Amino acid sequence: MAKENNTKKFININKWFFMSKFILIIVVGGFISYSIISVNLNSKITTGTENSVKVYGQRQSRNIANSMAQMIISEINDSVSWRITSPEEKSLFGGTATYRIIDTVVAGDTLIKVAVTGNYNNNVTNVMALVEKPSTGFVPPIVHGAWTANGPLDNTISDMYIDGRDHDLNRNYVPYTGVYGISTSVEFYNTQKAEIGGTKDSIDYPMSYPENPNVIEENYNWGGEFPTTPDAVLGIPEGTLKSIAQSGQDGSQYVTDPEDLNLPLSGITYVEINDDDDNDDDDNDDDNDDDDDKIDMKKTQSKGILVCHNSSGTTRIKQIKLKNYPFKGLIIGDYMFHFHLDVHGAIILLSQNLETKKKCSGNKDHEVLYSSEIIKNATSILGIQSNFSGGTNYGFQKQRLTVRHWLE
Amino acid sequence: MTYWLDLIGSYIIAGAIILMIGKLNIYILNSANESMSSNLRQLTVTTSADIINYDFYKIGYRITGDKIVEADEDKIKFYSDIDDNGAADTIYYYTGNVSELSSTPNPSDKLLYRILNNEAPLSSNAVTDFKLTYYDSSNTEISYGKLNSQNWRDYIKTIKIYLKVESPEPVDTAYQVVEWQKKITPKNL
Repeated sequence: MAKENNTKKFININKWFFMSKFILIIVVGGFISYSIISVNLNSKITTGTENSVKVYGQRQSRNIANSMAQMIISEINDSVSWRITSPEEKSLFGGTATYRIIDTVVAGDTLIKVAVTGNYNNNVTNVMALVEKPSTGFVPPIVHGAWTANGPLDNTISDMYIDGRDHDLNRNYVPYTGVYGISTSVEFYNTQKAEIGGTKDSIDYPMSYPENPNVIEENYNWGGEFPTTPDAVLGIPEGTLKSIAQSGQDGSQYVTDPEDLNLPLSGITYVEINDDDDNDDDDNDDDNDDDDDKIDMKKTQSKGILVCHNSSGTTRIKQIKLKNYPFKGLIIGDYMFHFHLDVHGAIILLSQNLETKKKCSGNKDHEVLYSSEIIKNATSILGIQSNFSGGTNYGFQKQRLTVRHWLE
Repeated sequence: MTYWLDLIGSYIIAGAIILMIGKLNIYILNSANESMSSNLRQLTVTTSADIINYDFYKIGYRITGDKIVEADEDKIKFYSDIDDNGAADTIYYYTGNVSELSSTPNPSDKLLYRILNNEAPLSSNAVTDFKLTYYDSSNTEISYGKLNSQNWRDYIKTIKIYLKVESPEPVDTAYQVVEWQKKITPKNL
């Protein structure tokens, strides 16, 4: 009996020991399994979170870099000379944008390089945009014709070739964008058989004699508002042209005697001859007008805006000469006569008392060609957008400056 | 008698638990394999996507003439000054034949190649699908037939890239799949 009891006790002990081992195995096994699953799951969640954060960070840094570049381009259009040569930093969209704006030469063209580095939580995106400099030149709306005047042009144009069709910098004809050949506020008679062409309603008319009536604008009513000063022609504050001329910017010059001009002309050339001045030393002139002056640009590549004006609008230039090269730009004068030169751009005469008696002949070898591109180049020195057009607008997916290349 | 019932019962329960633990371990093992395989596929896609992102955003950079000279469903050739050294580079993406990867059990995988200028084709990744879709400025899809003409290729403004990568070997009878898709509008187009 005692032996049987001992055996039972032993079996019981053995059974509990056996059960304890199983329980231990189950607990430890379960713990290990849970740990493995947990680590695996955590690893996946961590990887997923890291990927999300990384993708978001990369996208955000890209947004920062691109947005900053766009903002800079817009700003340059308003502040033409704005440059940042040493990197500067700006906070944007929760990150930072480090930017630099410099001038650079690409394939022979001077462009503005906008380099931006967007940084968001150490995700870095570099963007570089190469943009064209703002074009600040404009064609004044007063330019109705290759030759525009507030008085009679019959004698002044002589027998020249006058073409109001648009031309590029190299004298190539540009269709549909031209102006009249002649525009005057009085009647016009082509007395000296000039060949005249032009554009009306986007239809181009080649130069011919007799000219097509569509290339002439006569008796145009300016509503009594034909400008009386060169500054008014350009829509800028009075005194601006004279001030730039006196500053010497881009070769500009201001003289009171045409003989003092330094050649070639460029920038703004302001010739102001007062009524009481007599700078004319050509006493043998058969025009018998000793108060008149001459401008001789000799054989130079002159360009820009040439102004011949005084405060009373009575400057008289009896002759303007240039050989071998055309004058490229805008000529604005009170009274001018004897145009012995080629003009690529436009001419505007302000005086109502233009030449009606004298005649100028032998001008069949000269031309006046309208060129909006050349006029824009000439007026770009003013550093402003046209006051007449209301500036340049822009919208979705459009840049305020022309972007040549964008690297990201 | 009770003793024997207890003993047999405990053996049954213990056996069931051991089977459960064994099955759990097999499940965990498979899960780990899948996870590792999936991670590898993701790595492949991420690498390809990074390279594609880098190249495609630069399409046409500092190129004045034609920018995309070949465009089809699974290939594209374009110009870009990819290294910004002032010289135009040619980049060509295309997929190889499935026969090139006949050694892998997956019948659909093929290599995605990238050729820079006249260098030898480079490929680091196998894909099962590489599809390009082209859109014009109004986000209208341009049909592949039209893209034989350079005029139509010049209309391309946006490119959608679809990339599908599968594991070379099946994991638990199925191939692990990772897909990536993105629309890129290169600024120089």
